[in-house]
Amino acid sequence: MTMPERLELTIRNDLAEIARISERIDDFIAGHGLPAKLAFELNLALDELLTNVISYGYDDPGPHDIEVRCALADDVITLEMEDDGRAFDPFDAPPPDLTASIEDRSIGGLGVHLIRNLMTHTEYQRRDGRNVVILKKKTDL
Amino acid sequence: MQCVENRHESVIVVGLQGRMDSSTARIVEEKMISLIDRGESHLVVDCAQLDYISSAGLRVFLMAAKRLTQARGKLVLATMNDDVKQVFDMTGFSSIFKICGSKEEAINSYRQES
Repeated sequence: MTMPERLELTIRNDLAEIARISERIDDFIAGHGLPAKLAFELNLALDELLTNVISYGYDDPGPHDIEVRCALADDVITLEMEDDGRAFDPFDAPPPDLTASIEDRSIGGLGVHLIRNLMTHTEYQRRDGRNVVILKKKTDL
Repeated sequence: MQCVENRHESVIVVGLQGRMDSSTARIVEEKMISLIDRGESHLVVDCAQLDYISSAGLRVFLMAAKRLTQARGKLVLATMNDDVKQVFDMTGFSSIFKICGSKEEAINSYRQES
C-alpha cells in the first residue's frame, strides 16, 4: 500500500491529543521514506502551535475541533492548522532574548522561536473567522 | 512520562522517560519542586530515555534552575538524544545548563566541587 500524499486529521482541544497526532505524522513521514529527524521537527512545530491554541486560544471552556493537514509535494512538506479560536497571529511577537542568564531568562516566545527556526516558511491567515497557520519545510535540507 | 528519583550520596538523579510536552511536563515540575522544597540542592536530570521535549519542558528546567540558584544549588543535565539536544541548542539553553555526556560524569561534577 502506498502512502497517500495528504493526511487530514481533526483533533479536540485537549493537550493529550498532541502525542496522538505526532504518531500519525511519524507514520506519514516514515511512509514516504523521509528521515525521523524531519518528523521530529514537524511534530515540535505543530506541538508548539497546538499547545498555544489549546491553552490560550478560546474564550469558553467547551470542546472545539482543530483541523490539521499535512501534505507532501515537490520535496516540500506543508502543515496547516485551522482553529475557531479568537483571532491570534502567533508570529506577531518579538523574538526572545536567548543570551540572558538563568535569573533573567524568560520562557515567553520560545515556542514560536522554535517554529521559525525549524521551518522554511511560516504564515498566518484569518480566513472566514478562523485562524489558519501554514508551515512549510523542505524535505531535502 | 515517567520520572524516577535515585540518590547517589548528596546528589539526587531524576531519570526521565518518555515525552515531555505540554500535557506531561507537570509531572516533572511537581517532582522538581518537591525535591527543591525538601532541601535537595545537587540535582542531576538523566535524559537518556527522554524521547522528546517542547518549550513546555524547557519551562520546567528553567523554573527549577531559577529556584536552585536562589537556594545556592544547581541542576546538571545528562545524556540527551540528538533531538532533545537540538531543542536546547536552538533556544540557547545549552549555554545556561551544564550538559554532561553521561550520568556518572554529571554526578562526578558535584564530587569535584565539594
